Formats: sequence, C-alpha cells, structure tokens
Amino acid sequence: MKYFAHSQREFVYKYVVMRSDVDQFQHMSFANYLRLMFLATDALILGVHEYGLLMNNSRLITSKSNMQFKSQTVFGDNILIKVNSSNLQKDHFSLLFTYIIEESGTLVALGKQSLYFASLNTRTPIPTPSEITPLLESISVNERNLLYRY
Amino acid sequence: MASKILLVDDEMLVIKSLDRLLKKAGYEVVTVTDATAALKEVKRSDFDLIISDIRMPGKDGVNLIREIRSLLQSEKRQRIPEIFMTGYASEEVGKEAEKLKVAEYIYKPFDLSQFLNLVRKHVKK
Repeated sequence: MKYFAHSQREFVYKYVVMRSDVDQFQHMSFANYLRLMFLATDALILGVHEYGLLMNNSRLITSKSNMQFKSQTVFGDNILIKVNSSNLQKDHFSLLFTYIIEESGTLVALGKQSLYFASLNTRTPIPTPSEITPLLESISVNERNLLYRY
Repeated sequence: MASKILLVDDEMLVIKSLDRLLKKAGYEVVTVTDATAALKEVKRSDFDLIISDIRMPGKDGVNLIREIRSLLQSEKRQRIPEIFMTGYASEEVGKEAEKLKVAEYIYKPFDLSQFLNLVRKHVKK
C-alpha cells in the first residue's frame, strides 16, 4: 500500500514578501495581510474561465473580513495562503485563509471573508453563479470542526 | 486506565485545540512545545501514541522520532505509533518523514473529526 499524507482539499496562493511590503524593521505591515486575503480571493475566483464574463453582469462583494495576526513575516519570506470555503449558501459563502511561512511552517495569520455576488445594476444579492459553485464545493470544509478558529 | 498521548508542537494554538479535543475524547494527554522536552517525557514515562509537528525550532519532528525510536530500542521498550502533523513540508522533508514510515501524516489545517479517527485507528481510549 502506498504511503500518503492526509490533506484536505484547498486552494493555495503563494506570495513572496517584497521590500515594498515591509517597514523599517523589515516586518511586513499588517495592512498587507489584509491585501493578500483579497489577492488570494481574486486568484481563486479568476481560476474560473468565465469569471470575466460573469463580471460583466455581477460583482463580488465582501460583506465582512476579519483577520487574526499570529506571527511576523520579513522580506523574502514565502507565504502560503491556504484557502478553503465554508457556509456555502445559495447566495453567499465564506472563505477561510490560513497563512503559513513556507520555510518554517510557522502560522502567520488566520483570516475569514464573507462574500456574495450582486447584480452590477441593482447591487442586490444574486445566487452564486453556477460556474463558481463547483469550485467552492471542491474546497469546502466544516468550519466548526477545524483545528483553527477563523 | 486511559491511553496516554504525547503531543508535541511549538504552536500553542494547536496544543490548546488538540489537548482539549483529545481529553474530551477520553485520552490522557501530555503536551510539550519542543523536541527536547518530548524526549524527557518519553524517558520518564510510557506513551501509547506520539503526535508531533514536523517543523519546530531546534530539533525537528523527524529527528525527534528517530531519537525516540533509538531510545526505546536501547531500553528494550515497545515502539510507540507516531502521527506527524505539518503546515507545510518541502519534498525533501516529506521524503524523510515517509522513510520513517510513521503511522499517519496529516497536513494542517485539518478537520478535527478526521484527526480523531486517525488517533482512534492507532490507540484505544
């Protein structure tokens, strides 16, 4: 029997901390961790081929974002952002973000976004597009049963 | 008597979460945050399962398991099943861990019920 590691399915976004991200102490400033959450969300959703077309008629709205900061990163660190989805409903969903330093495996931050799609014209919530749903389902987890609280 | 588990991780968040989970499931749990403390615990008492992070400051989980096995062998004690946890492991570290043929190997973050099933597979309450 082949030996294997147990792993939940997740989308992984990688970011290298650049000089423009750090302060005078070489630490990445807090605002950048929030920015990375949005970059990871875009990268995830952009993975869907029809996303551009979708955006002609709808927009993705972030109704809530929160982040727990756990440890510092410095210039040159490779940050892996593991993204999972939770609370998948007809017209809204959540994304969970686990930030880890690739070199050391250190937990950097935990983030969560609540999102929904809205009509571009009326700005009212619309059902999550069918193109996005399988993507979200493939990385779905039961948030209440996870190692970390987001 | 409840089965005794040694939990090794430098992340307090993980220690707290898994300690609570395992105790609630009926296990006796000893927690340490580094490999040196883990070795001391193994020297002075018997465990039914070792759960260790791979990447820790100082001695990593791979070397810790090697030393524990060597210690148990030299003292003619029974081998203890091991579960590795990691946030990320390079291919090289992954191969090293694989060579050790630990009982289970799980990536963080994980589902706690899945984790508990892995524990139950190797140790009864």
